Amino acid sequence: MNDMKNLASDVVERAKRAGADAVEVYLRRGVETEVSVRNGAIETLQQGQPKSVGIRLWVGERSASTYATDDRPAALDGLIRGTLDLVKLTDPVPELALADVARMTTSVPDLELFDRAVAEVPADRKIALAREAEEAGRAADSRITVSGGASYSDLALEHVLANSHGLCVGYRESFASFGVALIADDEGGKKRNGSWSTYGRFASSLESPQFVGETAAKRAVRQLGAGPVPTQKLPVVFDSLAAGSLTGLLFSVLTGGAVERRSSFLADLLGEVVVGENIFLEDNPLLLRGPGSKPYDGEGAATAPTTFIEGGRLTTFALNSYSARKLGMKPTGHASRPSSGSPGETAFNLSLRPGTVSQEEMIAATPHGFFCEGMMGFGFNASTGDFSRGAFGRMIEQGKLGAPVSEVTISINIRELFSTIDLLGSDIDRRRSVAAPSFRIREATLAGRG
Amino acid sequence: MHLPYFEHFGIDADLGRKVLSRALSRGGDHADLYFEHRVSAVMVLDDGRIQEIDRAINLGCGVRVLAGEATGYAYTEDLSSEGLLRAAETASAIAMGGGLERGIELHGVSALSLYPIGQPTFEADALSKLDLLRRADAAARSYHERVKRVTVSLAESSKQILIVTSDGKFVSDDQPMLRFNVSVVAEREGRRQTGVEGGGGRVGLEYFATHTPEHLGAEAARIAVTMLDAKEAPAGSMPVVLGHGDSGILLHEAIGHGLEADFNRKKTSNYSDRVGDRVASPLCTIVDDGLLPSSRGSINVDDEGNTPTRNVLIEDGILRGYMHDHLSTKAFHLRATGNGRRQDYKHVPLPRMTNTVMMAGQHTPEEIIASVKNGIFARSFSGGQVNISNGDFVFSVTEGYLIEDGKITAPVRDVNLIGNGPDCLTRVSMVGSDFMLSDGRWTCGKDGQSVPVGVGIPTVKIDAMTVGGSKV
Repeated sequence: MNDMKNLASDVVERAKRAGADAVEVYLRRGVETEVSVRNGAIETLQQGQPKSVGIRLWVGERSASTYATDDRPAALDGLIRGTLDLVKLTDPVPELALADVARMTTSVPDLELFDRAVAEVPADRKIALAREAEEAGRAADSRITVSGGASYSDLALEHVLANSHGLCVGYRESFASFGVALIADDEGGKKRNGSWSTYGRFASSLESPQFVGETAAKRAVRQLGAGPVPTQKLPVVFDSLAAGSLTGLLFSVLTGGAVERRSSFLADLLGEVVVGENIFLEDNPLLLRGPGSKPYDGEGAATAPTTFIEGGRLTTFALNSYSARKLGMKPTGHASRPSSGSPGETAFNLSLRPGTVSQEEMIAATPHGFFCEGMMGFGFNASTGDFSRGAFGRMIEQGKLGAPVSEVTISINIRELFSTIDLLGSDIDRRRSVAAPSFRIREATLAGRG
Repeated sequence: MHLPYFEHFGIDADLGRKVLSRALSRGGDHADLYFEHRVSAVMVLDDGRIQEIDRAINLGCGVRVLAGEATGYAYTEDLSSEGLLRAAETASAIAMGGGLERGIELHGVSALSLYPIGQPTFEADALSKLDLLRRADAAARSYHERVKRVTVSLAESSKQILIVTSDGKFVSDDQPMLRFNVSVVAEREGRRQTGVEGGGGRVGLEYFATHTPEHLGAEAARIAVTMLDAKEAPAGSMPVVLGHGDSGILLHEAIGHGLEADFNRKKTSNYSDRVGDRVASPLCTIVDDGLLPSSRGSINVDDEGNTPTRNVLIEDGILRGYMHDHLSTKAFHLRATGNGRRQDYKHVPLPRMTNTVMMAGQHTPEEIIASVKNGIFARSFSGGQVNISNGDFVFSVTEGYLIEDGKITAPVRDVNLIGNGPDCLTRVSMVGSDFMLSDGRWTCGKDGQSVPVGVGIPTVKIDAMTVGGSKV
């Protein structure tokens, strides 16, 4: 880490000497491994040590950026010169300047994002975990016919961010995961796949191979016999994973970038009640061991918990320096820092505040409806909120899960969706960086047969 | 052996041989090296200003060792002899059998020459490229008073690759790519719509002679303004007419992915063991063609050193074959089809599509539209996805219209189309004579790897497909 900090500070100095008025350097180094098995045999062993350097330079109010995988000092001088040449071509954009100096973080809180044990898991153990998950899945149900393979992967990363405000900070983080994909053969000749993966920053936080295998098997066989149902409007219960993906879409339309480009239907609705009064959309970047936690944001500003939607009211957008300046607002510390290019906006650990109803109670309270277990595709228009995606799951009849359903679409405007949630579940899983409980909406259109 | 480009980085044939023999030092059947140097840049004009220029330089090498069906893989950004040998050592761990460092003979393979460039973008004056952005911006703004925001980008890359394999292949390619994009937001009384248009391919600035920035800008604006009037889309099963060009995304999702041989080798695809079966209407002949000149999905050599082909997947509705990489070619005892592709040196090659197209038929587009009483005409799309195992696929229509009594009428709001691969393609009842290759804009994702692809199709009628609107 100290090597990286020295290098980053050095680049800042070299760029200033070369003529830059302001500089930002982002260094990233890591180690990643992946092993995969299929039918018990090793399929791949992969290893790499990704590294990169991202440099943004300003001359006056003009800026340009460079990304490279070669961070040797000799290469860096060339990068700096090349970037300064590009700066001359851009127009002055004062809003794109570095974050204000007063916003630079003064401390890097230890959020327990790095587990030394992740890097110490021996290859044999990783192979064994993948194998055990695959075996457990195959053994869980005799209808499982094919394994799509099981894999274990991990990643350790070191980040350093330095800039000409004198900032030079860094932190380490780790991730590990393993999972399996299984296939069950249907009578109709269709194959039904189910997969499950467990993720965590700490090796000790992963689920057991038994659980992973059995969950994947369950997810494959539950789709046996699925097909489309007649087109209809009906109440829909979204399983927590599907609910999480909808929650992510709701966040995407309140990012400063979308608002500032006017590509969001929420652009003019700050301060208004935009969805149901039971909706609280929250972000906690400082969650200990949180999957998306960051001690500072992509511009080096301190992060803090934020509530974007409170009782249905849009209280703030997620803003970085650029979008805040363009909108005449204050940044909220939600800058992301891609490896290359300018900051965007991100949530860190986004959550939809849970309610008190269990998923079973929700289903039991639904005389006729659709239980949506997952969705497919990209059908979402941020400008209008129109949402239309493929879906699969099961019918709900008289409060019980019934026939499996596939090859249907769910269509509803997302603002209407979050305004008509009448049951909010208690089953939130905060191990996901976008976490939501199951919920039920009053009505959506399910398009299928006829 | 002479390596004009990579010699600059100290890479020569001797080093290649040395690294390969280290890679096979513990055994294994095959090893390959994939050197990559990719320089890319993107220029963005947003809200009237040249806001950003981002440049990226990626340089590295991936070393792969195959032992039976097992793969050992390591990559490095350190192209020194020590760095490469270390990566070879790591990759070699897959082979447990023990072996000897063996001598490797290299012979040059000549790559095809599918993308002759008129004016390489990187050699062009930067100001002339910025001018293209400004022209598109001006055209979009002047299209209509409701246009409120315009963002234009030009992305260019030049990717030099060198592939050296233990069976002696030694081949390099210089893969250019241009991608121009215009995004427009139109507003009326608090209602907003976005329109996107763009394209490119393995082309230079000569692209803009036939695809003017003015046209691309005005087209994005037209879509945004038109869609302000979009009505609620119908829900349910009905005839769908797919416009020529971008609708080739249907082929990519409905059949392309399912015919990538890795899924069939593992028997996880709904097309496994079905070569020779009827999987589409007799009107459908579908080809993955890596040889189309200058197209976004074309390659002079695949990322395993094999020559791409024109690979007939479906002939008159009958499944003829899969798309292969080295591993699946060995498993199926077939010849390579040149579909082994990878995102970059950090990734293993996989069977991937190049340009997936449907051959033209007999009908005029007018006849096809006129044959539909009530249905949907789909023209532009934001993307699609498929479940390889059960064959269900979706794609999202961003510019669609109602067809009423044989005529295209009102625009409809964003709508998702869903179908099942073989089932949907058997319902193709009319195929137009107006084949068009999509302007180069599509990127395909698989196992976390993105590669540029092309699609193409004539106007096609599908008798019944589920349209995911909200109006019942």
